[in-house]
This record gives sequence, structure tokens and C-alpha cells, in this order.
Amino acid sequence: MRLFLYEISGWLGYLTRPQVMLQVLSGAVLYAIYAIWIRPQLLGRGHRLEFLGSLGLLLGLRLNALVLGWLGFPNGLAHYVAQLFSLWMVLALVQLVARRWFTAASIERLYRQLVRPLFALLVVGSLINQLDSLIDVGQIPLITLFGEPLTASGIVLILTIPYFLVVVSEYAVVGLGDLLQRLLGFSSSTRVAVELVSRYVVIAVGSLWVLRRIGLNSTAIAAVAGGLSVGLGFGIKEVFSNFVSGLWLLFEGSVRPGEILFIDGDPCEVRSLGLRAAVLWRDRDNAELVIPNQDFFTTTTTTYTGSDRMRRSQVDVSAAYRHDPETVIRLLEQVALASPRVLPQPAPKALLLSYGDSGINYALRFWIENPMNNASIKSEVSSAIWHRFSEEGIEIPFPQRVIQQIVHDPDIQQPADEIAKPEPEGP
Amino acid sequence: MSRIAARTLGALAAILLCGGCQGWGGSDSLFLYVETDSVKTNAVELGDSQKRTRRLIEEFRQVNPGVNIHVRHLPSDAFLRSTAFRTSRGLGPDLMVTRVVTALRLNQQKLSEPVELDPQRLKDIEPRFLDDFRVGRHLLAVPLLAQPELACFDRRRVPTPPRELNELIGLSAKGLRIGLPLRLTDLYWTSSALQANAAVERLLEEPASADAGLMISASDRQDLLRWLSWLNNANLQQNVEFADEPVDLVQRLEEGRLGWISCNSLWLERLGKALGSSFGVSELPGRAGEPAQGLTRLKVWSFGRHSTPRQRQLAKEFVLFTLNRLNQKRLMLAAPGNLPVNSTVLIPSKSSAVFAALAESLDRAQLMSFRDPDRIETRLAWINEVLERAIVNAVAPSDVLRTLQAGPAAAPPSRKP
Repeated sequence: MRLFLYEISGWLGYLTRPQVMLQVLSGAVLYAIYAIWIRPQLLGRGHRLEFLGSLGLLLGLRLNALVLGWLGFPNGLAHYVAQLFSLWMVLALVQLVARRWFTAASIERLYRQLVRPLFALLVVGSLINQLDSLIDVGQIPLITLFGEPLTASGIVLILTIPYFLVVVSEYAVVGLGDLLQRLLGFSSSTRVAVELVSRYVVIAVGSLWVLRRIGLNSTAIAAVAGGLSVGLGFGIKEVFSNFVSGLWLLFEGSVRPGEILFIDGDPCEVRSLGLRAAVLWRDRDNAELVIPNQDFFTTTTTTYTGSDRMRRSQVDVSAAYRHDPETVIRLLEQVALASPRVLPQPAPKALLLSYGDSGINYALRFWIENPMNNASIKSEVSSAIWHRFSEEGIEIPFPQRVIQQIVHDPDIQQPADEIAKPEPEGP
Repeated sequence: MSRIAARTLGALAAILLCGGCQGWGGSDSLFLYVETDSVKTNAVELGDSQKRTRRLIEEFRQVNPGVNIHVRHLPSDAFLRSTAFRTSRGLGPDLMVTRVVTALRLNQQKLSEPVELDPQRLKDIEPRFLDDFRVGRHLLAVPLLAQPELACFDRRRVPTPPRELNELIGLSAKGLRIGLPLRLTDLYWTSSALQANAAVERLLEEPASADAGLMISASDRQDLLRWLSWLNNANLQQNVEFADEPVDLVQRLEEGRLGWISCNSLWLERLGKALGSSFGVSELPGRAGEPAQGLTRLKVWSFGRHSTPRQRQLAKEFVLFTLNRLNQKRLMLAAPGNLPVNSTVLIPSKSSAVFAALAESLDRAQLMSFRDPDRIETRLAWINEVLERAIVNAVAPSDVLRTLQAGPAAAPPSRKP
């Protein structure tokens, strides 16, 4: 570590050189002018103007480098800064253009997760390479791990590769899943399962490669694995149980991302199946439920997407006794068929369920394509029934209570049971 | 001003202030580049030299506290490129340790700067090493250490080292396995043993004309033919091997696959460790009882272009520090195979057979003239290619001579930068 700090502190020694100071200062002044005066005036006036402002800074940096060279000063650093800035601008331009084909949120996510971290690594790595040899600096031993010296490059690998494995594998497996789906005709949920398992494999293999690359000896890795197995027995038993449950569920196919499950009376869509828990989305209140994977093993799970994605829905309705049930049943089925989001096949079916107190109870059963839309489709169908009944003069009965006030005359003796007798409920 | 912009400017200001601190009484930094032979031999060639360099730096820091010296080892095929890259940014080294040809090319490409050193403090440096680098009162480079060419062998197989080339070939006929290098600089001694070294030197320096090739005199042709015939004869011997990388010969000697090789003194440390008491060193075999003349490598200091006055002053101090009698002696003893350029340092020839061989080889050694380093490098690369083809394909000496006389095709690209 001392040697590493010794080397790094030495780089500041370059700043005592006027040739270096001149390049750094001139670049800093140009950036300060841009950041303090130009950029605030362009902010909020559209991407095009902001981009032109950045282009102005780039031209300034290039011109600065050329002038330094023309005056006979070293200008490599000034050119380097201009090159980095032009790369940054290209990335910004690509981000703007990509909005034509992709959503702003997905591009922003890609940039936040992958592009900007990669750019930051590039800046740090190339800057070190300007000042020193990146390979030499990377070979400086920093700490000792399991009796093996861990170099600076090893530590950088440990810190960065797992992150990029997790992020990049997410995009890579999507391509793989798409290819396999086309070639082998997977269902979407199988594709998701394949993607997830491939991702775990990539991350596991990549992590092992990193451990090997940094020179961690196999005895040390075995010791870590031994420690983990003891840990599994005590502390992280639940985590491991959830992980294995997650893998099992993936292959079983009951809880895959995209599946619709019935949780606490609400249909919920599985958003992701993680190492420890599944994340489900509940449409009713836009809540996300985080449910440990092993819960799906111990409790009954109701799924709407086991063999197909259709859901049978039902609307209950009553009609007055005076209407012919055949007519009502026909009307109800017509209403369901006319509803755009109700599937024509299997055909909607209306049934007379029972004779109620106020009217005859019917049920209209129909099939919908997306289980998550049940509530809204039911609302649409119920509304259409009301309108159709209204047009056809069919009454939807409801309980009515007539309250009659009895004027009490003390001179007239009424029997007690007559006073207490309730009024009959009208239709 | 956005937060990011403010932070960036803040960080820049902090860096500039830290940099300024160094100039206001903080520690001084000195950047030192060391050229190693090649990428392939980097690790083996360096050996313990990094540790020795660190010790030397620590000793310098005792007399100049607060000076941080940062050392980088660069292979010779990347040295000029790396130095040019950083010099173009103002981040070039303050000091460089290189071969002579690299030092001259650094100077040609304005990657180093001639300096003026106190003549009184250089009076002990052997004039034959120093004079080639004088430009008026300035020095293009300053010699540091000398590495002569000599014979290395396994005593168990070669109890008495050969004094003449004929003896060497005779030993090979009796079953001794001999290793010879393929590069002209390493093979030069064979030409001296056959009195063809002057012709070889002229071959290197002679300007080539596009139509007539190289002008080689009749006597030079005879000398060259004699030398090429000997090489051809050696090549036909069953127990003589050629290798284009000196490290391959060293490795084969260590493994016992060879009994005698010609090698540069920079390999002595490694061979000594590998062979122990069986390791023997002698002068290279010549003719008529006289040893041959090898080419001596010089390691020289060059000064970078963008040092501050303080860095330049420290760089000069460091160079003179490494040239003083005490440190030259320490370097010689700590790094076997490196001989001092300071003439006041006594080489312990009487107490050590290795030093005796080294000292005699150095006394006899030639220094290659590098009046035109670019031409010499290009010509060396071309001759090396011709020799390699001739040895590999066992081409007749007269054909090889014809090829040499035809001259390089059209400025063949040098393999070295």
C-alpha cells in the first residue's frame, strides 16, 4: 500500500512543471467559463442548444491544444482532455438519437448502469496511463489476502467485474433468450427462466474467473467455500433455502416473471424472481410485494397463467320477476359478446342462478385474455348491462323498505301484536 | 453553476494546490525510466535490479531528504514510443538509463536534452566511454556501467576454456555442445577472431547506393568471406547451435543442454545462481593465443526535456551520485556483470576469476560507433536478417556475401524503434 501511495503522490510532482500546469490551467479556465457563464444560459432551452454549447467547449479545448502546440509547448494532455470530452459528447448524442427507437427511461437506465460507469473507468484508466504505465501501477501489491499479495489491478477487478457481470449479463441474456426462443420455440415464461438461469451461470463463472485471475489460491477458495457451508448451516440457511427454492420454481414454471398469481384475493404479476425473494406487482394499488421464494413452497399458490393466460370472469346481476329469463339470458350474452375485451371463444355464458327476494339472480360468465384486466373489464361489462337493460326496459330490482308512521290515539285500543307487525317489503 | 461543474472545478483547484505544494517546500519528485533488453527477457534480465535500484535511491534520499524517485522499467522495443508519448504531454522522465543507441536516438528525436556537468566531478570517468558523448561543453549522455561480452561455460564439461576459435570447434567435434548467438552485435567477437571486424564495421557504416548496393573493397570481401565461411562451418557442426535470443542460450546452459556459450555479462548473476560453483567465465576465444574482442554494451544516463530547474538539478545530483567511486563499486559488487566506468574503482581481478575475465574483456572490448544511430540500427537489423537466413538455410558463404554486397533492398524497416 505504501508503494502504491508513493507512486500516486509522485504524479502530483508533474504539476510543478510549467508545461503541465499550462495545459491543466488553460483547460480548467475554458471549462470554468463554460460552466459558470455559458451553460446556465442554455439550460432548459432545449437539447439542441445545450448540445451546441458543449460543442463550443469542445472546439475551445481543441483550439487550446492547437495553440499550445503552435507556441511550442507540449500539448498532448490538452488533446487528451479534448478527446475525452468529444467521446462524452458522442455518448450524449447517441443517447439523444436513441430516444427515437427506445424509451427515455430504458436509455437512461442503460446509461446509468453501464455506459457512465464504463466511461468513468475509461477516464480513470486512461488518466493513469497518461501519467504512468497502467500495467505497472496495476501490478503494485496493495494488501495480502490468504497469504497471497493482492495487486491494485486485482482489487479493481474484484470491485468492478462483479458489477459489470451483473449489469451486462442482464442485457446479454436477453439476446440469448430471444435467439433460443426463435430457434426452439420457447414460451415467454420458459424464455425468462432460461435467461435467469443463464445469468446466474454467467455471474458464477465470471466471479470464479475473477478469483482465479487475481491469483487467489485454490486452497483459500476452498476455505471460503468451507466457511460458507458452515454459514449455510446457521446464519444464511434461509437465504440459501430461498435461492434453491427460486431455482426450483423457475424450472417448475409456477413462479416465473410474467406469471399472474392470486395473492390475498388480488391478481399480482411476478416482476422478478431474485436470489432471495420474488417481487410481485399488484395492480389494485400499484404495490410491489416482496415474497420470500420458499413461501411459494409451503403455501398453495393460485395461478392464472399455469397452462394459459386466460381468466374466466363473472358479473352477477338481478332482473325483476316479470321479465322472461330466456330474454334476460340472451341479452346478457349479447352484451358480453359486444364488449371488445371479452373473448368470443370460449363463448360467454349467462346462467340463472337463483330466485332471490327482490328478483331473479343471473350470472354472466365470460373469458378475458389478461387476468390483470379483470376489474376494468368487469366494470365495462356491468356498465354495458345497465345500458342494455335500460334500453330493453328490464328492471334491475333492489330491496325497498316503506316506512309507515302510525299515529297513536290513546282512545283507541289496538292489540299489541298488530302494532309490532312489520310492513311487507315491496319489490 | 451545476453541482457537478462546481465539484469538478473544486477538485481541479485542489489538485492544482496540491501540485503547488510540491513546489513550495514539499517533497520533490524525480521520474526515472530504465530500458530493459526486450519484452521477453524483461523479468529475467531485471532480476534483483529493482531491489538494488531501490537501495541506491534510499541512499540518495539520505543525503537529499524529501526527494521521491519514481522508477519505471520499459522494454527496449517500447522505450522510445513510451517516452515520446509522455514527453508530448510534458510528462516525460527527468532521467533515463538506456543503451547507447537508444540514448542517441532519444537525442535525435529531441526526447532528451544535452546537459552540462561539472568537469571536475567527471574527471574520473574513463575518457573512452565519455568522449563519444561530448558536444562542446555539453554531454548527450553520461555513461553509467559497462557490460562486456565474454564466454560462459559449465566447468564440469569445460575444465579449460578454449583460447582460440579452432580449439572451440575442436571441442565441439569431441562432443561439447556450443551455443552461439545470431545477432551481429553478439557475434562481433567471431569476426575479430578472424580479423574481419574492420570489414564488418565498414559494412555497418558504409552508405548504400540505390543501384550499386554497398561498395565493399576486395580485401574486405576476403575478410568477410573468411568470417562467413567460419560461421558456415560452425553451423554445419553437429554440436554447435545458434539462437536468435541470447536468453535461449542462457536457458540451455542452465539446463545442461549446452556446455559453452558466448554471452553478455548481464547474464552472469542468473547463470551464477543456476550453476553455482560449476559456472565458469573466460575471455572469448580468438586466434594465435590472443582472446577475441567483443562489443561492450554501455548503460548511459540521458536527461529528459521537461524537468523543472529543481528536478534538473536533482537529476544531475543523482547521476553524479551514481558515478562516484563508492557507488560505482557498490553497483559493481551488487550487480555482477556490471563494470564501473569510474576509472578509480579497482576491479577485484586478483580475488575473483569472474572479475578478472570481465576486466580483461572490458580492456580489450570495442565500443560500437554510433555516429548515425538510425543507419546503424537499420543496417544491424538487415544484417541480422541476412545472417539468420544464411544460418537457418545453410546458405553458401559466397551467396551470403553477394546478398550483403547487394545492400539492403529499400530502407528495410528496423525491428527496433
